[in-house]
Amino acid sequence: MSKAELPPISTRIAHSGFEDSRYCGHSVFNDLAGRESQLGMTALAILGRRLSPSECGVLDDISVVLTEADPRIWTPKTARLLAAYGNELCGIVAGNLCISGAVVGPWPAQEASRLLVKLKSAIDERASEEDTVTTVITQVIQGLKSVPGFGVPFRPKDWRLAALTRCIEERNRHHLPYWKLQQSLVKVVVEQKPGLAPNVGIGVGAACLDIGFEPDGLGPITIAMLYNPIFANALESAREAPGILRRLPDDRVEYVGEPPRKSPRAKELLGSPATISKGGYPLRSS
Amino acid sequence: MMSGKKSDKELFIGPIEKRSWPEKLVARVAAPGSPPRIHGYDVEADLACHYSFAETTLLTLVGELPDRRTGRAFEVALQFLAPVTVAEAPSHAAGLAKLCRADTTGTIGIAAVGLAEQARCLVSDNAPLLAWLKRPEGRLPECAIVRDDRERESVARLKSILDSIGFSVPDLLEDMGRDAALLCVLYACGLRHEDQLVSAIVMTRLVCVAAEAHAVEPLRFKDYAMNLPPFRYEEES
Repeated sequence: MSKAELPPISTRIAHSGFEDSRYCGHSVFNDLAGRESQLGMTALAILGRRLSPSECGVLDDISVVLTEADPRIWTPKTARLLAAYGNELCGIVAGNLCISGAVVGPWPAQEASRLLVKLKSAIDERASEEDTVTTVITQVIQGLKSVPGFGVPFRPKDWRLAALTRCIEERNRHHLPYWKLQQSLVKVVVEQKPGLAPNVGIGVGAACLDIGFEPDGLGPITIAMLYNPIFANALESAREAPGILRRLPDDRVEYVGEPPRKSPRAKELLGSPATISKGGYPLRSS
Repeated sequence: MMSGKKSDKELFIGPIEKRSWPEKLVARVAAPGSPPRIHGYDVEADLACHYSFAETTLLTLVGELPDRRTGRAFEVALQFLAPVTVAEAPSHAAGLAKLCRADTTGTIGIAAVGLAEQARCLVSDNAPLLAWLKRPEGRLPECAIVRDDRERESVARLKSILDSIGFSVPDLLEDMGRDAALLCVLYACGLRHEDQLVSAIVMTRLVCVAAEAHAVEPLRFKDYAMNLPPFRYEEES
């Protein structure tokens, strides 16, 4: 019987040739080598186009600004823990998997970007009318339980957003539509919801939307931009392989589960000698 | 000489230092110390003597020991769920890792992640069934309906074994598909949440995938079906 032909999977990503490789529509050796950055290559896979040097610079800026690599923070610590047996790759994988579907990592910026897209669509062509912008933002945020891109845990202010703002201004990209919109949003939210401070997510969302990323594409690019804290921690942990990370002393663990108890089968056999079967099932002695 | 710089002690104070944090991790399943216990039962002196591995696994996942019938039904479901062929992504990927001579961590890690994704999709695809099982009213959801005779025969075998154990699954219907029927049994054994179901499925499948991968001879690149499945690279003109 002849086998049914399998339909080929179409790919835009790559093909390996003899003298060159293609990557997302470009010759690796002739077009990209020496002319493209690492994040530019990542963006090419997401957007299907090459970024300008200014756009690439923004991604670099975001990547640097997002470097919260303190090993006590949840994601880097996950990397530390699994690299502690001496293999940094395990730590890198763990650090990346730790943000899978999580509310840390790309999620805040992705949610913030969705809000900005929604606002932009509601404001439509009236972005220059300040009162209209304020009215629309007010209407939209009133219906939200929480405002994505706002809220700064453990700190009075998110200094990462301040640093990103400086970078965006230095690159003269602060006049771009989503960046301006996030500034309007920040103004309205801070006025109407005192104590709710903007976080870096709103800035990352706006800066990436201005490059052309869709909210769905923001997750993958943010994962690439969050690589350094994971990598650095995994590397150090693997090199040092500290035993304390592999296993904490028992007295540093508080057990709050069921207290010691006997199983029904153990109780059943109490007082009468039991024979234990190989399969783990008790056999009553005759 | 005074430099005007802050001292190291001042410099390295941040929100983590400024707040008080718990000083212990919290354990809820396995108690630290000796003797080792799971949900309060002594593993060595009690569980290992009186309970099977499947029963201990069910205890670990749901917090209570099953009766014999439930434990055996769970074991049967795990056995039905265990085989994963190399045609499936987790086994294919783990085999590729071994082909590249990845170490055991790499191979098993890929297997575990792949199996977790596979199981998550299985549970997610059957979300309407799990909702129906909570309130079994109305028609069986579409996702749970048997697709072919092979599935029908497999479910009949499952039912026959469960009948012989005396384990009744009231919602296990004749026209239920194999995956749905097995989820139904796991549900009847007490696994109600996605994380419990996924954990059980990954656990039972991991050994099979690992064994398949370990059977691959490393570096035999020429013997690997490079073009399976086929890919076609396309560029926009």
